Amino acid sequence: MSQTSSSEEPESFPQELLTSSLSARQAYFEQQCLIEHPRLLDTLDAIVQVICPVDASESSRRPGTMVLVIGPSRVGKTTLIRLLEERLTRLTLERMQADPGFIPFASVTTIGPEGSRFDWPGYYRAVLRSLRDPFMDIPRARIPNREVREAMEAALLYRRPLTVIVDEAHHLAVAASGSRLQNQLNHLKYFENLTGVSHILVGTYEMRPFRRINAQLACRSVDIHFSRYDATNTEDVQVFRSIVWALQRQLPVLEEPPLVEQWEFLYARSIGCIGLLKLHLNRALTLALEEDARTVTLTHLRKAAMPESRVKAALQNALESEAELTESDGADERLLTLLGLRGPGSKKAPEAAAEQKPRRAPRPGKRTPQRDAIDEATQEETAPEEAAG
Amino acid sequence: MTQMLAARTAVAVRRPEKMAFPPRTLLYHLAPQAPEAIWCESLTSYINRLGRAHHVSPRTLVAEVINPLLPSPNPFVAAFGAQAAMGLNGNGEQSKGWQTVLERLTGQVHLHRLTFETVLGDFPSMRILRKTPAWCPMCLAEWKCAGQTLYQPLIWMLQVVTICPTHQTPLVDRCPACHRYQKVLATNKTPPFECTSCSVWLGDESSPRRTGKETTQQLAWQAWICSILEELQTASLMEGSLSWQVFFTQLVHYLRERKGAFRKLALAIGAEPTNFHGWVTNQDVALSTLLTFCYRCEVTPWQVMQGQLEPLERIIQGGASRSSPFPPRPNRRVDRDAYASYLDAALNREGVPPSLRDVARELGYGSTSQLTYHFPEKCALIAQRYAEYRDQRKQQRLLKVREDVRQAVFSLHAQGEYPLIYKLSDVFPNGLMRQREARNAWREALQELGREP
Repeated sequence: MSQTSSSEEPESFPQELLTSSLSARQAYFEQQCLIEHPRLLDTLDAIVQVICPVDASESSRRPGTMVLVIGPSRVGKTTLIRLLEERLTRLTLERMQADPGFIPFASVTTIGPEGSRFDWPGYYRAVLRSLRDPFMDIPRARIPNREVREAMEAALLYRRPLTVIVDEAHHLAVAASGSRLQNQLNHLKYFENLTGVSHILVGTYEMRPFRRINAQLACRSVDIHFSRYDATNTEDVQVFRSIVWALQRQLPVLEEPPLVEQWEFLYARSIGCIGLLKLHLNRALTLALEEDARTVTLTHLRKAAMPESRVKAALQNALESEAELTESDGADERLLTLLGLRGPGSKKAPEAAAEQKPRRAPRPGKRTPQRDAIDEATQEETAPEEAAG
Repeated sequence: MTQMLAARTAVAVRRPEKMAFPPRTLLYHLAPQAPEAIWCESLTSYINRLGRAHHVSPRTLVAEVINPLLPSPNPFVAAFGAQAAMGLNGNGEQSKGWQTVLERLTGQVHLHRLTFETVLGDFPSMRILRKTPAWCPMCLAEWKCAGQTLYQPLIWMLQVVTICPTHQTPLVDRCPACHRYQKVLATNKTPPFECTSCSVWLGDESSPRRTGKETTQQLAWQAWICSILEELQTASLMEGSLSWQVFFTQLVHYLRERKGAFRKLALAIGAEPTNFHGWVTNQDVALSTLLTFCYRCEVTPWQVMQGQLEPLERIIQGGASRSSPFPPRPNRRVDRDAYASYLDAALNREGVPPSLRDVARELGYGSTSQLTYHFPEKCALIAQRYAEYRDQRKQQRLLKVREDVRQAVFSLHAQGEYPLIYKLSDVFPNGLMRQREARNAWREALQELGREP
C-alpha cells in the first residue's frame, strides 16, 4: 500500500508488468488498483459509525436504522461496498469465531424492474442466497414465492447479520412512485423492526425521493451523501490532484504520463467522480496499449473522454442533486421561525409557510376553481344590447 | 464529516483483497431445547425444527443436505422418516453418524445429549424407544399459549413413559381426528405438532385426568421412572456415558454371595426364577422389566451400579412391599347373551356406525379377537357396515374435491389466467392436486372451458 500526500511520492506499478501481455496490463490497472481516497474513506467511516458505533458487538449496535448512501453515478459506490464488506468482516472476526452460524452482512444488488413493480421475491431470494441458504440452488427444495419472505425473515433472525447492503437501491424508486414508493420503504422498515437488521441502501441521486417520502421514514433513516470532488473547494482540488498522481503512477506504460498537468481536463471530463476518472484513464490506456505507445498522451485522453453532452447531463444532475442534499446557510433560523420562536407573529409562521407551499400545477385542460373575471370589453358589448332590449 | 476530511488528505493505492469468512455453518446454529434437563429435546425433534427454521420440510432437509453427507446414505429417506428414524434418538452407530453430520452442519456441539446415550448409556435402543412419537396434548396447549418453543422431549419417546409427568395424563400417539400415528420426521412443512397426515393441531387443554386405584399406582410408577431417568442423566453428565455391564456384574456378584438369593428375590418380586436368573446373567432384558425389578426392590439402577444393594437384603428376607406397577390381566368370562345383544344394538345404532374396534373398546377389550372368535357373523356385519360407511364418505369427499377443483379452475380462468396445475396447488395445499381425482377434475374443467390441458 502506498500513501500519497503532497510530499510523498506514490507507489508505482510492478515493473515486471511491462513484459506482460497487453490484456494483463490493462487488467492490472482496471482491477488491481483500488484508490482509497478521503471521500471514500469518510463515507465508509460514517456508515460503519451508524450501524456499529462503538464496536461490532451485538449489544452496542443500533438496530433498525436505514442508511441511505446517495451519490452520483461512477463516484465509487461499488468500491465503497467492497470496502465496507471488508471492514465489517474484519470488525466481526471475533464474533464469527464464537458463533459459527453468524454472517456479518448480506450484500445484494437489486435488479431493475421488468415491469412497473419491484421484484420482491427476487430480492428475498438474493438475500437468502447471500446468507448462504443451502436450499436456494436445489430445484427440488425450492421455497415457493408465498413463503420466501418468511424464509428471509427467518434467515435474518438466525444468521443475525449487522446489515443488509443493497446496491443499486435506486431501482426501488424507478419501479415505484408516490404512495407505492412509501410502501416499498415501509416494507424494508418492517424487516428492520422485526429482525433488528439495518439496511444500507446504496444508489444514485434517483434515490432522492426516499429522503422525503414521509416524516417517520425521514426521522428514522440516516442520509450519507457520497459526493464528487468539487473543484471550487481548494482542499478537494488538492485531493483530486493527488488521486490523479497516484493513478498516473499506476498506469503500466514505459514512460509515466504527466497527468497531473492535465488535471483540469481530467476533472472536466470526470466532474470529480473517481470512478469516471478511472474509467477514462482505463480507456485511454487501452488506446495507448493498442498503438504500442510509450505513454498515455493527451491525444489518447481526448479520444477516450466522455462526450461533452453526456458530461453536461451528468453534471447537471449532480449539481441539482447536490443543491437539494446540501443544507444551505440559515437552516436553524428557518426551523426556529417555523417553530414559532423567531420573527413577528411567530405563531402564524407555520400557516404562512403552508400558504407559501407551491401549488401543484393544474392538469392541462382543467379549469382553476375560481370565478372568472368578466372582461370589460364584453361588458361594454352586452350593455348596449341590454339597453336596446 | 468536514473535520474528518480536513484531517484526511492522503490517497492510498492498494490491491483489493477478498476477505474470506472463517468457515460458516451450512445450516442455522439452532440451539437445542433444554439440553441438560430431563425435558431435553430429542434429536428427531431437533431435525424437524431445523427443517422448519429453513422453511423446507424436514424430509427435504434430510434428503438434500444431511443424507448425502452420511457415511452410508439411506436410499429410502421417506420410509426411513416415517418410523425407522426413531432409532436416531437411541445410542446406536447410526445415531452417532447423524450427530456428527449435524454438528458439522449446525456448529452445535454435544448433540449426543439429545439421544438416550446421555440418559441410558449403552442400554440397547431397540428395547427402549417407541415406534412413533407420543405427546401430551396439555403440555402442547400450555406451551403454545405461553409462546414457548414447541418441541418433542426425549422423555416422550420412551416406551416406559406413558403418562405426562407434569399433567399426569396419558401420552397420546395418534391424531384425534384421523387416528393416524405421526411420522418421526415430517414429510411436509406443517407447523410443529400439527398432524403429519391431516394437519390438525394435536394440543388439547381439556385432556381428562386419570382417576381410580390403578391410576394412582401407575402414577407412582411413572413418577418413580422420571426420578430414575433424572438420576441417570445427572450421573451420566457427571461420570460419562453409563455402562450397564456394571449393573449386572454388581447384581450377580451380590446374589451369588448369598445362597438361594436368586430364587428368593425372584419369588419376592413375583418373577419366574429361571427367567430372572437368565436375564440377570445374560445381561439381556427389556428396560421395562429391569425398571420393574428395581421399582419392586426399592433400589435405583444407579444405586445398583454403585454397589449400594442393602435394600435387596430386606426384600429377600421379608418380600417386596411395593406391588407390581402393572394391573393384573383380568380373566374375564364372556357373557354371550349380553354381548350378543350389545352387538345387535351396535348394528342398529343410528348415525355414524361404529367400527368393530370401537365396539371392542366399548366392551373393554384391547383387540377384536375375542369378539370375532365368539361372534363371527355379527362382527362381520359390523365391519361390513362400517366399510360401507367409509366408502360412502370417500365418495362424498371425492365429489367435493371435484367440485372445488372445478370452481378453482373457473375462477382462475375468469381472472384471465391459464389454470396451470401448480397454481391450483397454491390454492389447495397438502398435496390435494397430486390425487388422481383432483387431476381428472382439472382436465375435465379445462375441456369444459375448451382449453387443452
